[in-house]
Amino acid sequence: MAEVDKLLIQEIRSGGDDAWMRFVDRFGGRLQAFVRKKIRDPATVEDIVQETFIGFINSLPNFDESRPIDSFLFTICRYRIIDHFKKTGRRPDMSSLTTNDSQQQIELPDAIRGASTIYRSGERRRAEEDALLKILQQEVALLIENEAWIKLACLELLFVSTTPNKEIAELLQLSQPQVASFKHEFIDKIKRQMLRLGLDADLFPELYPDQQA
Amino acid sequence: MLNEFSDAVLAAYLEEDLDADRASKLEAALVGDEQLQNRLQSIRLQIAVGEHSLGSIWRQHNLGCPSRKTLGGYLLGILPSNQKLFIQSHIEFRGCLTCQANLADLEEQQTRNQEELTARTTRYYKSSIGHLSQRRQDESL
Repeated sequence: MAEVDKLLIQEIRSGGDDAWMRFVDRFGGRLQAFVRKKIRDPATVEDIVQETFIGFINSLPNFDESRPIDSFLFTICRYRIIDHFKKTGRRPDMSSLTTNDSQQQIELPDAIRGASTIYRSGERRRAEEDALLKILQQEVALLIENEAWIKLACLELLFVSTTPNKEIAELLQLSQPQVASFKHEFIDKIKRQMLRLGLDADLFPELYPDQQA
Repeated sequence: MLNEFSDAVLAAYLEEDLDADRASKLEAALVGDEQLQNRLQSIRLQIAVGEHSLGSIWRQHNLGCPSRKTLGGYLLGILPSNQKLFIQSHIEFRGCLTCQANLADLEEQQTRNQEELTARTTRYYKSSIGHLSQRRQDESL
């Protein structure tokens, strides 16, 4: 977390109402803009931002100061939006399918289970996802450090948006072989790192594009 | 743009990571498209049991998101051309909602008058300060 934010949180914790005003001033605009991307009704937008601030107050005793505030606030905000859509019946309710027991297996149709995931506990899966996250963070940080902006844009479109190679080539003024080369180089790197850490790369089908339909 | 109705788009929709226009477009397509509904259901189940794809992990953790300072530089048009293209791709084609919100907020700070911004802050402050005081009384923060 940025030093200025850390000091702000410390002031709020020690009872500074002015600090809360500064906090609201600092984050209110971006939260409002975020909710407006999802919901058009201005009154509902205001309500959700207010609920986000109240949600932040409620979680303040357990707030981990190593975490960036804005990312934490956007997460609370996203949950408030999900609640809103559930209440208004616009989205499917996912909570009925979730479980807090990481060992409990939920029966899924075979078609949506990878063979290697069937007997894997949620806890193990989470550990593998955490490890993959660290690898991805390092790789992205390296691309930023090397100012490899076009490569980063290309990888983001490939893996996050699953944009077809041809479209990416047009958007970024690359050739299609260049896009394919960035993709394979990245996949090889991630798989090698996962292997080195003793992790199961099979859990992530994107790392096996040739086997995907 | 996000590839229309790929698994990545469906996961982003379920995790409220699509903007209103894209979500509405998907909802319209879902009506009467049983195959699309089944795919959405499969992804919903995967998310419900805590399985995330590489793309979801990347998206959920905002990897590569530029800082507010960099977004400010983007607004001012002072970034090198390749970095500018990355941010444009990140915001417009990848459709990062967090960065779209930060950018909109920065633009608003430049264009909206200070009185309106202060009024907004005061509203949020007044509607939350009571909870903060109560929390302080109830337990140590």
